[in-house]
Amino acid sequence: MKSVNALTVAAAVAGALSLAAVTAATPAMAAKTKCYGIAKAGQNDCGNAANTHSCAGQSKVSYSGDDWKGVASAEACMEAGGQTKPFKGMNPKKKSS
Amino acid sequence: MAFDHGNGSSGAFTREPVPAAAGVGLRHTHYNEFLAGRPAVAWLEVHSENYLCPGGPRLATLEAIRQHYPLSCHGVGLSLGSAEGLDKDHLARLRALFDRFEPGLVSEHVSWSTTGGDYLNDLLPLPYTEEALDILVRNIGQAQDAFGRRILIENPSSYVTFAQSTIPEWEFCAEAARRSGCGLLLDVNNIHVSAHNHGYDALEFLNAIPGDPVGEIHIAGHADTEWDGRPVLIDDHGSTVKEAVWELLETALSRLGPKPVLMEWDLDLPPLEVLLGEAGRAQALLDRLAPQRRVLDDVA
Amino acid sequence: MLPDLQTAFRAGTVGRDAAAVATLADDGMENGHRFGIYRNNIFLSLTGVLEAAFPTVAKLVGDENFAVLAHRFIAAHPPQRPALYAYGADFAAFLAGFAPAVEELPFLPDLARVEWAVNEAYFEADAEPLVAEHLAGLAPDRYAGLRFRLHPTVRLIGSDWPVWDMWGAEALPDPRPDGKQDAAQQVLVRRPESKVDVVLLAPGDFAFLDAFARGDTLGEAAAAVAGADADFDLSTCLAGHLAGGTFHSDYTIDAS
Repeated sequence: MKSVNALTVAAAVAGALSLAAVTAATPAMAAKTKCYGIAKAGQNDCGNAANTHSCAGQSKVSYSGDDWKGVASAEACMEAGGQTKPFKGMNPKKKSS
Repeated sequence: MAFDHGNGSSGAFTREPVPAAAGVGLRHTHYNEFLAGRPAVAWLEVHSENYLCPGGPRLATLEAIRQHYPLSCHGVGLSLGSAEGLDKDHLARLRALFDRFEPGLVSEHVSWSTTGGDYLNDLLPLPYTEEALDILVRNIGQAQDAFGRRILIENPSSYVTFAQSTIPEWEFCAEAARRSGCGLLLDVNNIHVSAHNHGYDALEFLNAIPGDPVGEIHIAGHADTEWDGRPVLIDDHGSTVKEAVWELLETALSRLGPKPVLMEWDLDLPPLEVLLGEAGRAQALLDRLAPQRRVLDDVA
Repeated sequence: MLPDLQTAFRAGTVGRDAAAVATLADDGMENGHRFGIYRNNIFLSLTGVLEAAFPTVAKLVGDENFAVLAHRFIAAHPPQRPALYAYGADFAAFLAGFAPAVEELPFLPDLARVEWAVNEAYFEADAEPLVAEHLAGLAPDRYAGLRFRLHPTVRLIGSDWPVWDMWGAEALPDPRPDGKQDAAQQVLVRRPESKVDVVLLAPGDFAFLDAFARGDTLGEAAAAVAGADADFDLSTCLAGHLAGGTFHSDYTIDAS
């Protein structure tokens, strides 16, 4: 839109309000939205529910290296516990609504 | 699950005593089972600090689950043994949590975590001295005043001790409770771990604990491992309860009478059935000992 | 005395100061060879907290590199509150200052900003989102005076990097993004109810929402964006954000 005045805003908002019912069912942005939700039955719980307090100690020993190793090569990535499959842009998370 | 947009206290819960029966620690990996059904367990315990967020699914989940179970709030971050005193903001947030969820029990540890304002996220050991006892008693008093409640304090597991200690751990805990008016949370796994690590007799600890102040007992698994090439028990809450700890629980319940018993598991959480199985074994022990206790009471 | 003991414990654990541990041993710490158990408990548990808050960063750099980042961060920025949901607010800024990581992966701090926004949105106070019905009774000539408030869970992140593409990725993009302006992405994070949305925004939509964060009216926000982005469509944008829960139900409106 090139210029804005109260009339064009009023028309645009009126348009938005009438769009809203339709949009609620099929959001224009859905393809551009990734979701991060709490678990549904049978799925894993969300990751950030895991940053929790505990009253227990650790029986594993922490990695003690102090230097950045770099993730330049596929081998280094594999050694570092990463994966080498091609990046697809969109992860397989479900889309919203 | 309907999502509640309510802020702060909903006034939905009334305080409900935690029964002298077996409960389990509620951890996020088991939220689904508790939301979908009503697993058979007498009560639940959460770590208070995991629910101090302003909002979101974690609080909504606890709100939904709390409808069906008595609750205990077990603190892990208050740092009752801090020489610099307690964090007043933290006390206020805990108070708000307790007012909202109305737990039947509120507990913390005989340990410290905060110094110079840094929170070290572990339950660190105290030297058992008159100085430390004075600090602990003062801090417990401040916490009980802030909460408007009596709390329980738990004997810790530890890996080092201090030559300057002048008071045995069991006397230190019991005396802190006597002076502050708080109760005791007896962790029999911690007694076993510390007794083994420091070479004292777990039964000497147990027999020195007065029965009346004990409001709860903890059981958990520990790791029998090595550190620096030497054997040590690490209190990792990552397995089923060891037989030696079951024996301590039986001794404790025989001596103290029925108490709420909590099965804790924090590392590598198993399917809920495994956790409930451990709670079931504790409940069977409670059931088996209770009639004997009544007979003794009748004779007395 | 207890204050000295606690100070030395802090130095020996998060401070990784061997001299402090030696002093504790000299002062009577018994079984001092086990002191490292406490240091291990603290670093391992806090590394787990950071990994839960920054799962994509952790995945893309690998376990060992993430442990290096986490250990350096924990030593420099130990938690200041016993509330771990809030631990990690400084991690993105720390990454920006850690040359070995940003030289190789310059987008890492912005990716961490997106992940922290998700973490914040997840734990932020709940509030009712604004929906079209809330505005149904208003006279159209008052629309331009609406001052929407962003929902309390909303976070806006502008980046020179394709951070929306990378958020949630299992592996590094190949080829790596080169930071040209056409790879820039603007991200909206919000949690209207129980789920966190991570939304890719057009530049005009980003500027439009940012205007409300500054307190603009709808008329001012629309005018500012219309001049800057010819593709911006107010109706579509507004309908999307009313449907998606980007605004707080509690808005104000200027006198017409």
